[in-house]
Amino acid sequence: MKLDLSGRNILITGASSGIGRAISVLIFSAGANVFLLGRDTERLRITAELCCAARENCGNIETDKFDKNKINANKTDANKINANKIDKDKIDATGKIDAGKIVPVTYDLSSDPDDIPKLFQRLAGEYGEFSGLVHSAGIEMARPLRSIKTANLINTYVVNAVSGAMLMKGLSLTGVHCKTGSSAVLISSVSASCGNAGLLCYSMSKGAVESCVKTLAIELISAKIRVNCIAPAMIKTPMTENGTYKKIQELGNDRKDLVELRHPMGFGEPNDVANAALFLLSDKSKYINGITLFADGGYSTL
Amino acid sequence: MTKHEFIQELEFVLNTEAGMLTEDTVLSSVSGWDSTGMLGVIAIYDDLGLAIPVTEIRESSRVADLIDLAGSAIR
Repeated sequence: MKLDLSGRNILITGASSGIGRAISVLIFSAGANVFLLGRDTERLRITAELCCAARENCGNIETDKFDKNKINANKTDANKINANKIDKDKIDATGKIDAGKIVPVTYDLSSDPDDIPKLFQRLAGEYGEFSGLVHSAGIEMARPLRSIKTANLINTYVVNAVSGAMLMKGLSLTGVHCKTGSSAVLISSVSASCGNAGLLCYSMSKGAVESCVKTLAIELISAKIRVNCIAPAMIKTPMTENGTYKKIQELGNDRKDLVELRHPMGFGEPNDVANAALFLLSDKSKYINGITLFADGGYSTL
Repeated sequence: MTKHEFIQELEFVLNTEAGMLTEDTVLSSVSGWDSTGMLGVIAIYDDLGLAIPVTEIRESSRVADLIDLAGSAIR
């Protein structure tokens, strides 16, 4: 079964590494135009190059025109603006753009969530309507209850949940989403529904993501926007290998063994989540709406 | 943060009664000194802007060792 996203504009947050990067590469190779959101310009460039390497008919990697720090420079730099034009060679005889577009967007979702819908509008105004969104950006916070301060809860909530809701607001705006149908995928976690000591901030924020999905799956039916979640277990990414899992290993064998026992199929790969995202973005899932798809190797069944 | 404030925070995250910990307290004798308690200690350092390796925290034997790890962040 080949899943085809040809010509569809899809925005991916957290695209600069890990799960978001794997999703970006996979859906670009499935034919989509990808809009790569992340805070780190250099790492976004690497994702863009990986996308390009994964697909034969790769168009230009566009200059990042939406980086707030660079907007003024770009407005006056004619060379940069010209660099954003798709090569004429890549436009087919009917005038349709044949090659895939890769648009890196350096952006911090937590800096001003109210700006997120405006960003979506600017992107749609320049590149056309969006068929999809994947919200993969997120932060982890390992703190036991006794160590948690209000700021820890709020910071995690803003990046993981509030920005997801504001992205959905942006996608829902007229002129931003495709009138024929769109699909949004928000990355949750098994922690939203399975207990994990020390992960209250993270679990609460991911629980909010899942509530957001269920509400919007109904609210946005009239706009033909499907909204679903993917809940991964521990995935081998730089964030987990250098952060959470490393910390777990160092804390001692009791916690390490517990975490490993709860993964009967071992830890997942970023592509395990990316494949699930590709399915939910594609028309093959057109009757699936408001679900949480567990990509967890059986974690949630134990 | 003063030593006294650090010890108070430590008592809180390790779930011991107020006034029970001193610089000489052996950590392995504290029931809250487990992986969750250590996460709490990491959080105290984090709030001080310090990234102390987990292995150094785990290998600490007394409360005084945890204070030393914070260096000049604890007066």
